[in-house]
Amino acid sequence: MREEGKISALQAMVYQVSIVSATAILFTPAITAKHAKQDAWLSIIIACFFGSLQVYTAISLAKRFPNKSVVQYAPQILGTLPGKMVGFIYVFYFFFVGYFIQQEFAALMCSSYMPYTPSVVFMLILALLAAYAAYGGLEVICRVCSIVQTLVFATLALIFLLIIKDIKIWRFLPPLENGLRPILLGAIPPGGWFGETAVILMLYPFINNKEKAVKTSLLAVLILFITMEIVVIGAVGLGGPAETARSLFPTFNMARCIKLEALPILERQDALFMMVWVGGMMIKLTTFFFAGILGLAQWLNLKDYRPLILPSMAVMTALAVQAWENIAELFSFSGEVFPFTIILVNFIITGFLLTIAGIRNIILKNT
Amino acid sequence: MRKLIKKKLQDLLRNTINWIHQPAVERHDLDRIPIEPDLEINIKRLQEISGVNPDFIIRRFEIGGGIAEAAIVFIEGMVERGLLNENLLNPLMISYRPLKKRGPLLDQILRFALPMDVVRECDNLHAVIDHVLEGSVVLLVHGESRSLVLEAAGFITRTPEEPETEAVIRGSREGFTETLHINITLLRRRLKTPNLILENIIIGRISHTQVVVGYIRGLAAPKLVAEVKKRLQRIDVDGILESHYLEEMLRDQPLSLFPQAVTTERPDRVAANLLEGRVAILTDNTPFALIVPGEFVAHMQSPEDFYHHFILGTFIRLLRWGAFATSLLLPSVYVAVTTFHQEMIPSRLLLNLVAAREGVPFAIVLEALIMEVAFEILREAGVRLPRAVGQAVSIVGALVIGEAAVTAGLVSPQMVIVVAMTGISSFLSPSFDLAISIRILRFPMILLASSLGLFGVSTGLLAILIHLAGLRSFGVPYLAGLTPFHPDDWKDIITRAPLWMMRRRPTELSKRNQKRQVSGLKPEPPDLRRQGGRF
Amino acid sequence: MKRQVLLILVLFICFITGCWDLRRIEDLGYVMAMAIDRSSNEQIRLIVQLPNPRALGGGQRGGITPGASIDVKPYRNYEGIGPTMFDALRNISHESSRRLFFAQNHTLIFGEGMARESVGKVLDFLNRNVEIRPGLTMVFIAKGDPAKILDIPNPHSVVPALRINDIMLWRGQTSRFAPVSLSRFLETLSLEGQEPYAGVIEATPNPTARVKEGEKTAPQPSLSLRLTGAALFRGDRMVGFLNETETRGLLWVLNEVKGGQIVFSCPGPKDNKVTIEILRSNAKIEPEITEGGIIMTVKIREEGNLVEVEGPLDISKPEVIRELDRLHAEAISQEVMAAVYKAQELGSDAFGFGEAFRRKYPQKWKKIKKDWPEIFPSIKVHVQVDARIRRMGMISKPPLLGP
Repeated sequence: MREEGKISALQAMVYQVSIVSATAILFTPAITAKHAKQDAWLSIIIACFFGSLQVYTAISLAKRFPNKSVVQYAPQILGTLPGKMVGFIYVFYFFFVGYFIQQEFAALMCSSYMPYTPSVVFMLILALLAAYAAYGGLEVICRVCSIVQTLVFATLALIFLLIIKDIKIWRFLPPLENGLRPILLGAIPPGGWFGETAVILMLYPFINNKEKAVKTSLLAVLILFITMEIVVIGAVGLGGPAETARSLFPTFNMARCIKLEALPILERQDALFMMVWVGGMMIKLTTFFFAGILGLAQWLNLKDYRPLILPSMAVMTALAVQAWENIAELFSFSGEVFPFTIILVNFIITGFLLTIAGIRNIILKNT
Repeated sequence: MRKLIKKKLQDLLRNTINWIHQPAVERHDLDRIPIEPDLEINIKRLQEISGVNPDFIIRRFEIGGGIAEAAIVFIEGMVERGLLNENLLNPLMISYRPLKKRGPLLDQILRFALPMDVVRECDNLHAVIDHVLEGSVVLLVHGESRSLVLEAAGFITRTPEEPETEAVIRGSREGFTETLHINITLLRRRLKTPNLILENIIIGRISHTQVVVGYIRGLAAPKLVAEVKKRLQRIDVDGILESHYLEEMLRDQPLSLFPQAVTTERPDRVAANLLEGRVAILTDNTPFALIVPGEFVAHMQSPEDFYHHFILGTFIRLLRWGAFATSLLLPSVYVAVTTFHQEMIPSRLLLNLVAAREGVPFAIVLEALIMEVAFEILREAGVRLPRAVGQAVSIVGALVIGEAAVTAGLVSPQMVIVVAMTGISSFLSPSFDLAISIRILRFPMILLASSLGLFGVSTGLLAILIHLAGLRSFGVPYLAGLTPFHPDDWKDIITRAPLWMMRRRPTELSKRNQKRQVSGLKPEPPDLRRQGGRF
Repeated sequence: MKRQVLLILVLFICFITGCWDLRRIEDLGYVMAMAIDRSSNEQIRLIVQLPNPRALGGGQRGGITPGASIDVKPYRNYEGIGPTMFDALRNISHESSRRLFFAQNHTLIFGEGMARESVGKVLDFLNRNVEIRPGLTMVFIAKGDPAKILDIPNPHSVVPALRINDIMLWRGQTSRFAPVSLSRFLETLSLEGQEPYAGVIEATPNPTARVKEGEKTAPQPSLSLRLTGAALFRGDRMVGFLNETETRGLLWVLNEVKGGQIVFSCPGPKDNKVTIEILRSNAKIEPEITEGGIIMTVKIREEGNLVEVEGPLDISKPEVIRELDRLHAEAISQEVMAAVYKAQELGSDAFGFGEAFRRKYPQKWKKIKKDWPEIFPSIKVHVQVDARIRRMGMISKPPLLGP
């Protein structure tokens, strides 16, 4: 494997945040509010704990093989064939989420900004940018992430400040109207998204101060938690749970709802948020795509992943184009199937690997 | 290392001379040609080398009224005549009478007869030629196989003037000139330390241009210095006429549009950068020095930021960032908003815009491109034309483009404002090179905006960002300070912190010697109470 | 190298074939106000108002005919009829040279006839469409023909739509009309314990319009556009209007009073009036369950400045002010009660009493929410007002009163 440069734990954290934030920002309020109604913000807290658990599992596994990625050591844990299969699941997971992101991106752009532009244009442009970033390698991706992510958060904070006067506390009342069940149900999708921070499984070998990785990974979850809380509180506090659940893109609605009689020039500036969010989506795709091709190269025992960039990008975009025929399909998938898929990979398979590795270790010690 | 350099240099020299005089002197010959005791032979050989050049002068005379035959060799116009006549020819020809038994004649001359400060000895002809070309006078004496090299360079030089490209309100009015040794003096005067190392490298097979690599020992990373020297020595061309020749050969990413070295005419800017641990490259015959590594942030800093109150400095920095964004984005955002995102314009402004646009025959994109190109033409014309005419042209241009085009309904007045704002903003950049890259990038951005709206603008920005993130200047990440993020450096990036707060040098540059000054320098009023209430 | 050429080619194709969504700024018709009504044949009748930018000044110098004549009407109203909203608005494109663009629209007017029937069918389009901003669009009910209301001339704010906006900006002057944003309208519609309300817009005769013979100045318009009161809904059907006083009563409870005047008789034998200007107010609903039924207590805190006293009242005395505070609180509570009675009569819980109940007693609410429309007219409402006069302008005693 070609040396990919080293990143600091802090940069890994930015990577972990970037891999989640863009879509989480956009879709959390609607999906969570659908079940949890006005208690959506409570769901996020529960999801945060679940997310921490997932990332902690992942990092405990990564710690056992500090110089290898999960695709490389899965055969070591499970034996060659099953190990390779599990490795492939990871690789496929990254690509799968990758083309899912492309679809979601095209869905938003086509629904709200450029309805007449074919969606493949958006997928292709996003893919090209991601490929360009992937050519730069891990260090470059981390740098781009940190700048774009800062902008995304700054914009989000600005929007929140502009709508804070219209957020009404009574929209969150009464708490726990229907008991805990809906809150737990609402916590599953964001919980799954939090689990995407388990990408640390791929990054761990490149971190140069590994001792800090646990702390920064949990910090990443915390940052994401704050972000999601902001968008959930903003969306529900502004429009009420029913409107939030009905909306396809509640966070964009939040930006569309900015109303300032004193400064009307700030109204209707949601396209600027779109601009920043495009960046967020781009880095999200890049992070998944990079993890995917890195894993694929490791899975195939290649020295360099770069030759894989264009072909896999082409395949991914092709998959994105053919998958999900309409937006209803896409959204029901993203709310009902997608979270479980990623929980399966990030939590269950990772936990399984960790358990087997632990058992192996015990057996090795005993013999 | 030094030996290597020497050898390389010798090679270079040899090659060059061979190249010039291929028919007259065989390869390798010149190196071996020692100075013969017989003056006639030496002169003959020199004449062979110099050919028919009329300014290559060999003046023959006799020392001390006929004691020995001698000759001086120099190039007319490169030496100071008065000095030559008063301090060399006068004593030697008229007043000097050699004493017997006081050693060889040349030594005697050196000790008693030559009231000149820098005199070197030299014993082969190629060195003689070399020195003569640099503006020295070489004295050959019959019967001696050595010669004396007298430094008497006196060609026309420009005195340091205020640099035109980097004028300041407050601060030194001195700028570099075309003469390297004056530039070095300007630099030495600002940094009086023996640790200011100025290493000489000669580049250009024909031009023999002196290039000086300057750095402060202990501040500049040795790896960086070595890398700079290595890259300089790689350059093997026939001539270096301007420092940009070097810049283009030194880049990490040769195809990138972004400047990877800071160019400046100001010695104080060079000094400030040397103090940060950077390396300066001074080239003879150009007032423009290069500073490497020239990462992005370095292009956004002007020396004047530090010559005013820090709040003004900060304000101007913020303004500069804003102007940077404006000059890159304003036309494209205008195009995007008016063709894709009309909802973003406040109602009344929108009606205004529509009213002005009605009847304008061109699409906004075309209007923008036409105006931008027209502006570039005007700007270029203003630079190239004779100064007196240039002014007239820019007035006519402004009138034609601004007034007539609007009145004729060819362009909308708003577009004129946009283009003018863009143009003016681009002048705020302290680095001309960075402004150039922005000028060029504006056009693809306009095209992107016209086909995909703000999404296109965003795409373009992301592509630029990815490109910049992958860029390095002499190994330093181009976006150093912004990312990899160093909170300490931010004081000097977005803002200009008070001097007593900036205790550290830029992180990526000076990993070894970070501390710039002692802490606790913040000035405070005297503690009057402790001093008994008065001074 | 080949790869780079290919890449450039792809990008070039993008540029060339792009512009799918391109719409030139001057080719759009910016809808500034839209009115929706039922047409005679039970179809949707949509009226949109497009301003004429050139007549509105601005770029007088641009254009083929610089300085276009002022006589051009500054706006044009289009009417489209169709079975659905989208069909109606696309029908307009047969007449309009410009594509309708709704993102600048701030005013949405429902005809009274349609509102009394139901507005539910068109709400979906209004919420679903990208261009329409529910948060920025204000909902009104037109008393009378909306086409007529949108065509009332005026020398300043010549475009009626923009005039409505400007009037709305000053709604704090009286707080006696109740504009509501479309998003709020939709939210209240989806709430079980609250019914929507909307502003009312009407054309009133202009009493100052008199044209004397031989006078050269242009006549004043004979009609005025007036925002007045509120319309109450039950579900998506309008059930009735509140007059201006009652409207402020509603707005007190909804916490939407931004200012305005309160007039009441001052103590004393004669019917002299005192006027207070409202500075700020805050209201809270506190539901209670008693044996006698549900009691809603509305607690209002208000602060105001005294701006006008008619009678010889020595208001420099704190005890007089205290008395005025009491009377002024009473005036507020009368306004609120008037609104409550009217709303109960109409059977529309625009105050959100049901919501307040749900928030406090979520479990009990589940049992009664079905019957809420029947319960609401019979609930008792108490109003507790804490009103304070803070300042009194530039003089203390009125000039009528000696020193």
